[in-house]
Amino acid sequence: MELSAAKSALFTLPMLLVTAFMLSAGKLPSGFEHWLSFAAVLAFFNTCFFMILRSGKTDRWRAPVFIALSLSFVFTFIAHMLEVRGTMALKDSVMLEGGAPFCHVVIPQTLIPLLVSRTVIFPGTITGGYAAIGAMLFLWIGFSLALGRGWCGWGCFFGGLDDMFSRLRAAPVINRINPKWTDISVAVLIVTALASAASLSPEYCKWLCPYKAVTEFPAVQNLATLIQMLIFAALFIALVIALPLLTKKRTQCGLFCPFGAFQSLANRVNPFEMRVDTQNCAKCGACITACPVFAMTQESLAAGKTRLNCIKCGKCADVCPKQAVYHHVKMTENRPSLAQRLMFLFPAFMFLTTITGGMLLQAVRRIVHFAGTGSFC
Amino acid sequence: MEKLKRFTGWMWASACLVLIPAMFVGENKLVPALARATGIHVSARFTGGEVISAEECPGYKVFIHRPVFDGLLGKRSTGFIQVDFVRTAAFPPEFEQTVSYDENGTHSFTIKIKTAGGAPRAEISSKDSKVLGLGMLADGASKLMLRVNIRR
Repeated sequence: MELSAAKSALFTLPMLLVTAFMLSAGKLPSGFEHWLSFAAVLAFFNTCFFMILRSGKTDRWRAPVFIALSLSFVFTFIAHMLEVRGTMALKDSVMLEGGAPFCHVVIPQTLIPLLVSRTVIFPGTITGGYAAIGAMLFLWIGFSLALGRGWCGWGCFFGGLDDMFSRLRAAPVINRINPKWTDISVAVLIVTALASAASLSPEYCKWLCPYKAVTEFPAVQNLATLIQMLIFAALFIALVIALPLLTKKRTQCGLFCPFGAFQSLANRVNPFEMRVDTQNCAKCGACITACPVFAMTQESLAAGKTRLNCIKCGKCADVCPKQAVYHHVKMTENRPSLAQRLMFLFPAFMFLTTITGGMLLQAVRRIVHFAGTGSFC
Repeated sequence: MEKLKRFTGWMWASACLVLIPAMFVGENKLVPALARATGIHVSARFTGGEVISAEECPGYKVFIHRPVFDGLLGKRSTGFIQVDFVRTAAFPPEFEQTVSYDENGTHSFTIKIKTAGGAPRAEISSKDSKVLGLGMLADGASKLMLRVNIRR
């Protein structure tokens, strides 16, 4: 669904205003570094949004921002940890003082104790501080109601890493992966949620999160913490780097992440979905091959829908030669329309840029500062 | 009916368009209010539980937390007591603290801390069979936090 340059510019204007307000926090930047980073990030966001509209390719122009989100997150997170703690290792004292940053992947592990006794089993703080529990829960509830598992395609600050690696090769080395393997993530979800409720400690974070390798990890003090470190590194190399490179799929997100499996349920309670016009569909299977999280199968295609684990990235729509796959607002007419596409794109891209904005600004500012002074701080 | 359904769909989608910016704008005010209203709090297994007594000593203050046996549905057979030693000046090279954690003083233990010569070290001594030993010693920016494992 390509638009003329004039129409694309017109629809980009509201996004330009929102992102300018969000990036500046209502105040004009001061100083060369701030101005440069502000202008660069603003131009980047709005060029991508303009191109989504102009080219009709959602995923192609979503991906640069989504990948920038993950890279700037990792960069700024590590910089923050090194400045505040002097190390990426999470010491016992930080945990006892409630200083561990909370992330959305912990949420399914905390839900049972939260519902039973209103306690959060995580060494963080409810409000205030860096990445507080309350703020993350609040954003997660709001986003889930608005975009469901779109979180994994438009808001997850880890997902851009395996998304990036899945795009590096022109063709996959491993072609066939049975979509039933996605059940592994459901099994990981059930096992870690129950184990966490039993131990009152977030077990997935303690033992299985690959992203610990690039964020924070327990200080190696004994054999158990050494094993934890080795598991994190092995899972990161296998699921975030190697398998995405070989399969061109987001294997961590599609096959292993318990949050992703849990978030699939949120696809039931939000108004957006991907639909397939079965009359127009050539049944070429391009969407099945392209889907990064195994959400398209022959069966779902025949039913005119995706599976429940769809992340709404729009890659299926991008590759469809007949333009038979489209963003759809539930309960409305079953045919592609610009209104439905815009209705989804505005909140999704707004969320993506709001989450990304602060981190990307900071990352660009630090790089500009480094170029001028030789120091990141 | 079809028109009403379609109208509902569009309204639902429009609400999401408003929800996303509203979330970010209202986050700072709404999150503390929601946290208070729902009463969610961090588990005592991480915070150490409420402080039940405090004592001031030369160079530091001692805060003794309640015994934590919290389980998912009830109490566990084993738990811990957290004791914080907050620096007010420099810690003495060696000091002791006796902690009694029941009303009549039958269950107690003594913590001996040595801070001289590198990382702080702690020893727990007790005649009480319910005191299982040192669980954790963490040296924070402004305090030493220590957990002693106990049985109910």
